[in-house]
Amino acid sequence: MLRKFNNSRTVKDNMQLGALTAFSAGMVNVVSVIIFFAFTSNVTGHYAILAEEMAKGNWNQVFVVLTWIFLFFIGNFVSNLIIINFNEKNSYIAHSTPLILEILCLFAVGTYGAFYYTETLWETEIMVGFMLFAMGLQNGLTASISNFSVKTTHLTGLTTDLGILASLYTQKKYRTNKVLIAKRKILLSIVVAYLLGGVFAGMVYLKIQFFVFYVACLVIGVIIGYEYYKLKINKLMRYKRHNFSRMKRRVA
Amino acid sequence: MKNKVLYIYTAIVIACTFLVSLAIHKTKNPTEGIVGTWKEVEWRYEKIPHKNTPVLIEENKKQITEDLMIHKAELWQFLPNGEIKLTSGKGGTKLLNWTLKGRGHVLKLTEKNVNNEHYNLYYIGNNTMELHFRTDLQAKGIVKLTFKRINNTTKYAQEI
Repeated sequence: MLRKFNNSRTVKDNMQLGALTAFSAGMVNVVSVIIFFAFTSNVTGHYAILAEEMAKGNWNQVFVVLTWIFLFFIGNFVSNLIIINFNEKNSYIAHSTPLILEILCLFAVGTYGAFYYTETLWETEIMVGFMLFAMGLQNGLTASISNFSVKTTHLTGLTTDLGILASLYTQKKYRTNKVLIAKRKILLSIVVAYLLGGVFAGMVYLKIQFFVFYVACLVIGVIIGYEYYKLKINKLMRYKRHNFSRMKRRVA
Repeated sequence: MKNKVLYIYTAIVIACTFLVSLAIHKTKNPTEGIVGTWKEVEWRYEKIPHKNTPVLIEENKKQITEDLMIHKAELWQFLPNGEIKLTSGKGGTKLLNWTLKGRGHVLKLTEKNVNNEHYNLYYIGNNTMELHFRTDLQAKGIVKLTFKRINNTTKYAQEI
């Protein structure tokens, strides 16, 4: 899910990565709207708001929204910077570091919200900033390692792709096209996971409030842990295979 | 070459951070702008129920706000400690808590830490404020409340 890069990734890799990250993005976005009245996994709306606030002359809000957009941008920047600099040394570390940073951001928001949040505007603005940075990190990672085929924090481009795909499917030659079938699987898994994440967070938030961010951290932790587990298993398998062939040689 | 790029990027980030911090510091925060006393001057429908009657009549207003915290409020006094004093036309008062959410565009009113209501702070200027909220009662769509800032609160409260 995390180790492979660009064209060496399988459909299954992209589906797993896309679904799990989309689930956490859906959670974060819904909770941020419920608590802070601001979207945090996409910035299209923020650009529209930026223009609206400029037109109204609310310069304080203009700079707040500009900072949020900038933090999402920086998240993507940092994520890809880590990948391109460390990918050749250790792809697992290079790909899991942005996710670890994302966990730290979400954990900080959850902890501060649960124990210290007094509902002032500046606290809200900073926490939304943290979440946008975290979502930028995630989006940068998934887009970068999947050769731009997986973007999980917003669904505008994805809905466009689905619309195009649906129109292609009106002709039989496209319905049997393996590349398009794979694309459909990835897109649908992301949409479903994002929606499920949102619904789940909306329901769970009523019970556990800010601790819902810990659940989002846990989901991202699963991605990192699963890959680590697979690395260990692969290593063990290689070791056993090596020992077995050595034993066979000795017996022969 | 690599160092040159690093310097340029660092300079851009520092410059942006400095500019945004300066701008946020120098511009007026909506939390500061809202503190003071505001008098309701107009209620309007987003969707007009009858042609040529865009302004809500008193009866409609009472019906719409019946279950709301702002029922009968005419004077809204935002205190800097996060409290809001709503005064009705007959002089009755109600004390609630207020806070701004989002980028300062949502006004949250809380009553005894139990109930809360949200209003969209659409515009806030030196002397005018506009709040929007949705209602499902009769007037479908958004209701727009316009306020004017009152400078002499005590005198006005005595008058009403």
